[in-house]
Amino acid sequence: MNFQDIIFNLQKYWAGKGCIIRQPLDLEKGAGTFNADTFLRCLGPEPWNVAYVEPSRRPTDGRYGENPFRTQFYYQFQVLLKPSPDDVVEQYLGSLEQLGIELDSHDIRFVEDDWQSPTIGAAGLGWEVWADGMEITQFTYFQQMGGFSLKPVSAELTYGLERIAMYLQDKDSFWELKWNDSLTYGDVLLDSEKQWSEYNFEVADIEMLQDLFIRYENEFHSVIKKNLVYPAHEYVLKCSHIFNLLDAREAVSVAERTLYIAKVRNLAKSLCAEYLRQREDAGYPLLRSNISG
Amino acid sequence: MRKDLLLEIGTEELPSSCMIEGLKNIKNLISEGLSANNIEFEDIVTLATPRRIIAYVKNAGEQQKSVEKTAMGPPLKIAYENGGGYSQAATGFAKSLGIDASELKEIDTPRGKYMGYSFTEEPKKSVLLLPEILKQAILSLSFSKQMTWGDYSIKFARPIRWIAALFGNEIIKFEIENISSSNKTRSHRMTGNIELEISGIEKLQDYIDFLENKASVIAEPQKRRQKILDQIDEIEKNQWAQNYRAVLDQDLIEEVVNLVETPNVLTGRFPEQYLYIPKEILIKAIQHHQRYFAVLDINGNISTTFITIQNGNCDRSGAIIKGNERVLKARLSDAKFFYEEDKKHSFEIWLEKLKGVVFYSKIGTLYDKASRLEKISSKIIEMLQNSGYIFDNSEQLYKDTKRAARLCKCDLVTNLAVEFPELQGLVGSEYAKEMGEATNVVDALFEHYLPRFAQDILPSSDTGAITSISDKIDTIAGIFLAGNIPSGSEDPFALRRKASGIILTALKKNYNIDIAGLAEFAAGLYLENFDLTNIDVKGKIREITEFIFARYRFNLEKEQKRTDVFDAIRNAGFNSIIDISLKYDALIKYIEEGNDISFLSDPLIRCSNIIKGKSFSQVEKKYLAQKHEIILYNELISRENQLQKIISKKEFSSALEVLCGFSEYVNDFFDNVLVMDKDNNLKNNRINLIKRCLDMYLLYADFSKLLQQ
Repeated sequence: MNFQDIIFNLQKYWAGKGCIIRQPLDLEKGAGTFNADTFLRCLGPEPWNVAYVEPSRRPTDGRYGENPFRTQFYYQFQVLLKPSPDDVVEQYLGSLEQLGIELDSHDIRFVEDDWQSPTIGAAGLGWEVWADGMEITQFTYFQQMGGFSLKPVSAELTYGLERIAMYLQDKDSFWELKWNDSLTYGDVLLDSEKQWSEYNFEVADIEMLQDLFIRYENEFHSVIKKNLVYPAHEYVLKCSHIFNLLDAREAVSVAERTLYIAKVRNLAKSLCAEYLRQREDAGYPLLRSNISG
Repeated sequence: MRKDLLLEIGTEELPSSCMIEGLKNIKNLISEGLSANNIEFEDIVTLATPRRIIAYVKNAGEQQKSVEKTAMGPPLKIAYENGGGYSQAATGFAKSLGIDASELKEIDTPRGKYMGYSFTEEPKKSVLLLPEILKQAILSLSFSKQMTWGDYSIKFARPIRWIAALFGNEIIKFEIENISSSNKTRSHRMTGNIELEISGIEKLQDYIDFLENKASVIAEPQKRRQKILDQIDEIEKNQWAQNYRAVLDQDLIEEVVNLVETPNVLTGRFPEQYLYIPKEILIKAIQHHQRYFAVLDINGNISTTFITIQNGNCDRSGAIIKGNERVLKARLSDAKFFYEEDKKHSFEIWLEKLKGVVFYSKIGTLYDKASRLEKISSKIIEMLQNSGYIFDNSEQLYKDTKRAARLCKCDLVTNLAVEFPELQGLVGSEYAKEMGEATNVVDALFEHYLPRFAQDILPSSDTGAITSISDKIDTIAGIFLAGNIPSGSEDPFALRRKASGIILTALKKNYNIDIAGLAEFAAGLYLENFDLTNIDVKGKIREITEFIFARYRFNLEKEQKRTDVFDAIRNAGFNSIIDISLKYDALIKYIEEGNDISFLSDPLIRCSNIIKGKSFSQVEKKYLAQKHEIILYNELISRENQLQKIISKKEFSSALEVLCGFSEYVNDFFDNVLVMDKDNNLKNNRINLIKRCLDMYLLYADFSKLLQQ
């Protein structure tokens, strides 16, 4: 199954389960969790079922394209099911079968992995899902976001698309993956991976980044004052990404790290509080549509 | 009549720690529930897999045990009318029970005689009570990490997905959130997660066999463990002809047992190109994260083979081992990347980096720590030499410990140790070896982290032991000065383990370290460089000393040894570890030989009682008036001298004999001499004499703390 077919199949499968299929957010972010479709929608009582591809950036994970499956840029396929259905694990396993993974011939493991993202005050309990030893999905029952306890609880499924493709195509490296019948993943992304690794680790202008962090942080504060949740959300993401870049440049001491994380967490917290307030004021419109549907 | 009761709580995959908690707690909860409801049972067996927590109650009563109950009515004195008939109080009470007042009996109570009624309560059928008992047991099951799911309110380790509850063949019906209990379980995911009806269960073994044969699930953790070991053994014998053996890390086995519902051992290989990574690092990289087992050849060299445990029965198509091989290759590729990156650096670069790593807020960086450790380690060598310890080559030792102290925190900023935190120490040590550091330094970089957990090995080299003690006292002193003292279960810096490490290492190495002196020195180094004004430093040093000795005492307690003996010695103000340990052993031996401790404690208590609150000066010979006080004085002078010599030679058993012999004279003195004489000179002189006797006992211990057993 080609890389792009995996995406088509997952989209189709989850659309069939009642998810809306969304497109990626056009901003740098570390994971699909940061997309407002998860970050904000997991808050409050309204149901929400969504699936989308999310290009994700982890500057410190860059290996100049030399590691077979660690990169600073990769694609996640994100599913958020709120509230988590009773048969969520079976639904998930069904999606693997949809991809041609026969459950009786593979060792599918649910390995404890309690997920936390201190930068956005989020926490959940769940697993890394392993297929024959390879981590292919992060499966999390969200318990907290922006410091707020969640009810109902959402199940977040984050597929590592490249790893699944390696597995399905029997390849030893991202770069050898077939994107379609004629091009490989390496043809499409290897050059950019090398350049970004160099940029993240060696080139990115530290002073500029430090300066940007402050500007973005200030912008967040003035935007949230005007109750503009969605623009404010993007500035949280920008701050988070800048912090990750500074980290890759080894420009963050241990003491500063705590400080940066605390700053971003505070932004996330006031963002979530404002979102919750606005939904409540609006009378939770999706709660109504759920009843009728 | 009795029947077996089965409860199977089916869940999504439980973390291993939750499995263990659940296993332990469900037993207590069901046991309590049955007892509280007067349902008798023989035994409760608990089992668990990653997807189920199981309690099997053998021979539970089909109905409650009959229980005699007594209803208490009015006091006897108001139970009768003056005329002799029953009073209103008595008839009313009888009526409330539905009986005639004539059936009431007199009952004696501590508060006097009452009217009452004894009866046997009609036993209820267990099937009526069990739903609530089982439901409450499940709802009361708590875990250190819990979660909620869906739109439900129940908290559990992971979502509950089914509940099977059977009493004999009868379903015990109850509901928890969306789940109704039934007689159904589910098979292993690999065999389709099929819903199965549990039937034909007459005894525990039937149920265990049912799960194994029908559901491909081995419910007994012990049996899964044995199956893993047997299969590995089989592979070593047949597949490898005993030319290779697996590194069977016990903790790893225990963990793997809890990750599978049924185990299957598979072997795989990785490319030779990774073999050049140092062996210990390679082994950890194989074990870590993926929970694989490394394999050694007959010469103890690491081989390119590894073992993984599958959760299932077989690797039908070979896809499972192939997948795992691919993953390990990538992991090793990562380890190699970090290792190569690290090799581009040097200890000097890492030392510079330590300047940016905060050790603890307010008290500086790891670089500052390394500088302090150099001083503390030299001080320890000096202290030990002053106490008579002879090192083979002390010049070399000073040099090596200084170097080790300086380098020992460097590996914390290496890529490899950041990626594999459990390799701390090992990484520093391997890199030091590669970079040509002296063997003693190499060993110390690993050893100074010891012990890493309870029952871990201890440093064996002098360089390692001294660096280790320096590091630990420095951390304890720093955190205490910064005001973060462990309390209750809160000990984020593992200071208790560190304190215990100091004690155990000193005992092992026979280092007679003065803990109070060491604490004072370590605290002093912080005061030189950090503003810790407003801190009662003397008080902190006392607290640190007490904290460390509390671990000594705790270790004795854990081994069920006498702590009163330790208290007696410590209470006399001794701080040197080996002295305390030798005195302890001698005193225990003295007691075990059947000597009466009151012979040491009584005279001491008499002395200390009589002089309480008095002031003292020299004993003057001219005021010694009576025979028994003169004898006591003479004995005191000669024995005092003798005792000091014996103690300095650490011959503590002889010291006890000297004291014991002395007690006779003290007792004679108290029996024959009136201390509180009318003549003030005589009285005061006697008090001074008694004070000196007391001090002599205290050269060994405050024997008044000993408990008569």
